[in-house]
Amino acid sequence: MSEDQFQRGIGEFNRGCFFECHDTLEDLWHETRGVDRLFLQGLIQVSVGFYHLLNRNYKGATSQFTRGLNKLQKYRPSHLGIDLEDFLKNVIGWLALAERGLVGDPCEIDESKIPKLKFILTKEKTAWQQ
Amino acid sequence: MATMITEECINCGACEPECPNVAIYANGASWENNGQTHDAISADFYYIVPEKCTECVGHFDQEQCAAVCPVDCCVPDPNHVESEELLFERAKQMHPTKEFAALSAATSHFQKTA
Repeated sequence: MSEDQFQRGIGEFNRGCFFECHDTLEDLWHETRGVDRLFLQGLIQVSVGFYHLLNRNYKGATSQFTRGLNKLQKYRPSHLGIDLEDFLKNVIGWLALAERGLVGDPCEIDESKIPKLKFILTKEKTAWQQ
Repeated sequence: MATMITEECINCGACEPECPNVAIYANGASWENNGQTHDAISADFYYIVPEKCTECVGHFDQEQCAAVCPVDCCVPDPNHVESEELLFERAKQMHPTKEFAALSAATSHFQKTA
């Protein structure tokens, strides 16, 4: 497990490489135990939610956004240096968009509005820093 | 019940090598059993062959596909509800040379929830 790997996954998410982000964070998730494990899975699920949404898989997107949000809500306002407040509010909006697609009322997807994962300055130590 | 993969699957393939029964196949790939080849069950995402799935009974304490899936898309299949006894018999048939111990919490998720 490495912070480099975590940073790489975050970078892939922010570049819109959602499958790659899932892949990178999945490796990390497999070897992570403790409090960080569900957080990583939540990030993976939100990432997969965007992957499905961009492929017009509204059912998959709705489900993954919901699962991911449920997990990440528990880590507000931030975890592992990631600011979750604005991010989660934004993802809730994307969940609503996916749900519209699910009921046959899809709207245009503006990929530029997909939120980024931002680091905040924190004294919080991650498992791999300890 | 057998385990199934939902449309939430991202086709990462993490589950496939974990299955002790080789019951998981990639989307579009034909599946085999007893020397016979069958058409793919799903063209879109990885799938589990119900006839080969034992829910890991006889092998592990939980379904290994579900354990390694970060997307949580390996779930019980409501259309294939099966008893622990039936699943254990299937495991024995599929692995005739393996000596199975009596089922326990380490080798059957039914024992964990009983």
